[in-house]
Amino acid sequence: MAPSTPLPFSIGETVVYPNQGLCNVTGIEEKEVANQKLLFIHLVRLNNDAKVMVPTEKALQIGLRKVATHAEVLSVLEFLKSDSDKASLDWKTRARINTEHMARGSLMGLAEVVKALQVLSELRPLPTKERELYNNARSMLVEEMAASLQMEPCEAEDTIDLVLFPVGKARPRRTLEEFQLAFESPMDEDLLSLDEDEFLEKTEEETEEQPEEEELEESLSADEINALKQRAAPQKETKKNKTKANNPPKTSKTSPQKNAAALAKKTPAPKTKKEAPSSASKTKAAPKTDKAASRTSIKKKAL
Amino acid sequence: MIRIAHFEEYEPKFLRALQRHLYTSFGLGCEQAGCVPWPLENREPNSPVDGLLLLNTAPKIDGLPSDRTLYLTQRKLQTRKLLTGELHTSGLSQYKGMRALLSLPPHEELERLQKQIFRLAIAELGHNFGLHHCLDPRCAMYPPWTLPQASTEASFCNFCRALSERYIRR
Ligand SMILES: [Zn+2]
Repeated sequence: MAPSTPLPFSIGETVVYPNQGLCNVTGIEEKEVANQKLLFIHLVRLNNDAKVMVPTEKALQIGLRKVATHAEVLSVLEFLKSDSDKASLDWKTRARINTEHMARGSLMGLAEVVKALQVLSELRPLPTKERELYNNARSMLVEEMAASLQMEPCEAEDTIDLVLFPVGKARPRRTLEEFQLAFESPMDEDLLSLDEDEFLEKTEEETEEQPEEEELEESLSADEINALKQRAAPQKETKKNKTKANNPPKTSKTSPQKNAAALAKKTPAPKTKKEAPSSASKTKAAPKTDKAASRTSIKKKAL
Repeated sequence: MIRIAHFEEYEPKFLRALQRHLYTSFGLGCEQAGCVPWPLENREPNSPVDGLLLLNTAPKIDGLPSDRTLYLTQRKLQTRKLLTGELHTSGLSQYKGMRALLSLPPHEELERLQKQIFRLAIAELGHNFGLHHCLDPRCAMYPPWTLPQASTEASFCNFCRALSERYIRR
């Protein structure tokens, strides 16, 4: 049986399997499964030589794709070079956005995860799960860029990092205000909720051996959060109204993609499976059990 | 196992200290493989060499297939012209591969710059085991071109240490 859409891959070609990395197409084979003839694509992951066999239609649904072109790599480098794309300070929103980027697996999506987490790490240390996510996204970005530009991975990583870590410059230190400016609402109630506090406590435990960065974390101490919380409410109201009235379809100023905030606001909560109520809206009113449940589901997804 | 091979002669004291440091950092056996012949035609000692070419053509060291080799040279490596800029290079590595290369300062500077050298050695071998650049400025995997080197440590952060242990075991 021929596939309904012509297969865009050929045997021997290197392709990108979203969230898995580079694979070699080793074969295309017709098989009968439950009295149905299906066309399967055989893949070998370059990372660990694992063999994968996927029905071709499914492969296309998942987003199996060709390696990015030179032009796509250049636009990713431009994006990485642009002024920082701020991650959401709300870890739930962040987890959702990053999970979506990883699942879609586009080169730009990977770059957005790397950039957003990198910039966030300049505000405060990342918890282990996000460092793992950062590392995975970076690894796939480097791998694909090396394949696309036909260079050694060490060269590809240096190409990226010349932009992310400019020569001779110390690591920038971000302020909460920078992140607030990137968002229409300066400080969501939800951000200051127990969830975030727990998140920060966890972060503190996990990064206790990073004294240089502890100072940053201190800037988010309980007292300061309370103070910010008090300040945040009226600011949020004014700024939100102003932005909505003047510039409703606002997207990132610098990035070719939507920035994290814009994406978070544009993506309606129900779009994501098992999604918790969006940070700006229902969390306050939601019963505690729902909140706990949403926390669990997001934590699972973030894994 | 990590093996240290060198294209020029070095003080045994320096090599032993490097060997010990790598053993401690990776928790893997580390041995000296001795001096190996220069593989490139370019023998002019003052002209910088193509690091990738040197890395890929360095003589193979006998051992197990899983052994990694760190090659040391006192020759300068050519500045690399990358898409995003030029990069002075003091080390290179086959990512998830078996070879790493380090360009060392002159003999008389080895002792003074020992910490920075060890840090670079860990970083290049770290790439061999699959580690990427790290976000922690105090970690050996932090990009080496960003900070004054004297302020950095010749060791992994907790995250990279855990990753390296995981990658080495697999
Ligand atoms: Zn590290």
